[in-house]
Amino acid sequence: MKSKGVSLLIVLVLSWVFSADTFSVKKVDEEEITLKYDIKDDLLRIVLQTTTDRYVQNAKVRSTYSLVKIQFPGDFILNTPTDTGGRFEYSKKLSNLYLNVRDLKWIKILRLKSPPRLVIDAYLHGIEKERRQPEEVPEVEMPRPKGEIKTVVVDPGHGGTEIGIYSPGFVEKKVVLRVAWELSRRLKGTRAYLTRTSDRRVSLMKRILFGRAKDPDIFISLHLTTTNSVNIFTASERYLRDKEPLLLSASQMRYLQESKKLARALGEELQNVLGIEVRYLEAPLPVLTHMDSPAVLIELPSGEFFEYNLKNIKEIAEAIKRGMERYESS
Amino acid sequence: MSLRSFILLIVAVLVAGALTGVVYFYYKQRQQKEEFPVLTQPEVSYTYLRIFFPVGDRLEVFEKRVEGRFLPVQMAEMLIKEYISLSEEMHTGLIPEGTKLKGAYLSSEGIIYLDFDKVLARRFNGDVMDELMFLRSIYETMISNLEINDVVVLFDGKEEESLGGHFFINRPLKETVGGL
Repeated sequence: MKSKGVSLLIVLVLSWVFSADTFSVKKVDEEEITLKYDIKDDLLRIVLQTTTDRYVQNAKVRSTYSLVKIQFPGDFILNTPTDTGGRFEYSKKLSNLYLNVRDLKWIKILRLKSPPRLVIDAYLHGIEKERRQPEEVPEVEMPRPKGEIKTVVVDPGHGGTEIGIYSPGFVEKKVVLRVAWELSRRLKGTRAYLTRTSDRRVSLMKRILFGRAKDPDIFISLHLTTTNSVNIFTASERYLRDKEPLLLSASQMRYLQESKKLARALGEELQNVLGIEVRYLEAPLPVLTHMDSPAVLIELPSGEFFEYNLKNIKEIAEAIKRGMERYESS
Repeated sequence: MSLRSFILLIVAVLVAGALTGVVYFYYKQRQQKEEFPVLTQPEVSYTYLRIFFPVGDRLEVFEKRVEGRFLPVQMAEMLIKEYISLSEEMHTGLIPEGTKLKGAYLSSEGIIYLDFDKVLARRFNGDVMDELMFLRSIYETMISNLEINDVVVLFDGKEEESLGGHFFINRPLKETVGGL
């Protein structure tokens, strides 16, 4: 009797298991990824630990600017630390993980096992600077001794069909040409060359080659901004640092500090005359990066905020001249 | 019949009934599956567009979800379309009215060529930062969404030296704006 009861119980249990297996949906375990990080000096190490090696080996990693995109082969659950130390941010979209790393220079990727993990070493700008400086300094020639400015190239931007910034009442190409004319008239005892003397289009490369051929002591490019401020650009240090010093596009590397001094001298005089904000900026502008002499690009305020009558244009030209003298004597 | 035998009989009948039921429903379901395949809703897949757009002197990321999966060239065209819409919505004046992308092409070297209508070059009304941020935003938008190496901007199918007279665009953008 007992054996009958046990048999019945087994039959009942089996039938329940059988039916449960038949009618239920089997849950597939999702991959879990744990994000850890460590910061040492200017090296940020991000570790993405997974449970299966497939996720590490098949992950596609791309980096651009400050963004690192990691595309895993499938969706996952992300376990993250509560704080990232303010050095990076993360966001997850489906099978992608985005890391936004501040001051990111470049990344190195390691795919490790036991446990499976993807290690991203993010090198930040500080460390790169320290690492490269000893190698680069001997390669860069010292700039020519500074003294009297004997030759200057003035580059009025745009011209011809390329009109620059425009608005009712003013056109950039005309304003900067007038300023360049007035400036060149004031530079007595200095050889002043203009990259264009009339309303015609001159290509960027022609301006660069003209400027280099004249072997000037300084190069000044004139433009307008869309704002009510003066912007003075020097070449981008970050752009130049990545370049081979002998490249034409990296000619400015050895003059960068002199260019910054020139920018300051000009900016102070312009601020005295115009009484408006002067911003000192960096950009990989070809007319600066390709130039083999101290070089700046001045953006004067927009014609919407400033009246470019003859009196004001003469005052600007006078201020630039005084800025050059201030640079000479500094 | 004793009471014990009676109870046993009742239990046996119930068990037999349960088993019959399970087997019946199992086979019925299998048969239904074979005869009438279960129609499930097609899985909807989405593509996330990340558009880098200049806001002041920096780039901000705007995201948009669109239904479907796309080829790189389709994706590039869609990204530029969204970029132009975003510029119109934000009234930045960065992109001149009437700007259109005529086409996008992908080379075997992984360079995406964006062929704009010349109206963009003719009417571009920006200073150094405007031009730099425009080029950077286009580059970052493409690189972040597509598996490509570089970006080239064309106007009416031709290379131009510059867009606004400050930067070269007759070469891939990575050299000018990559890594800034």
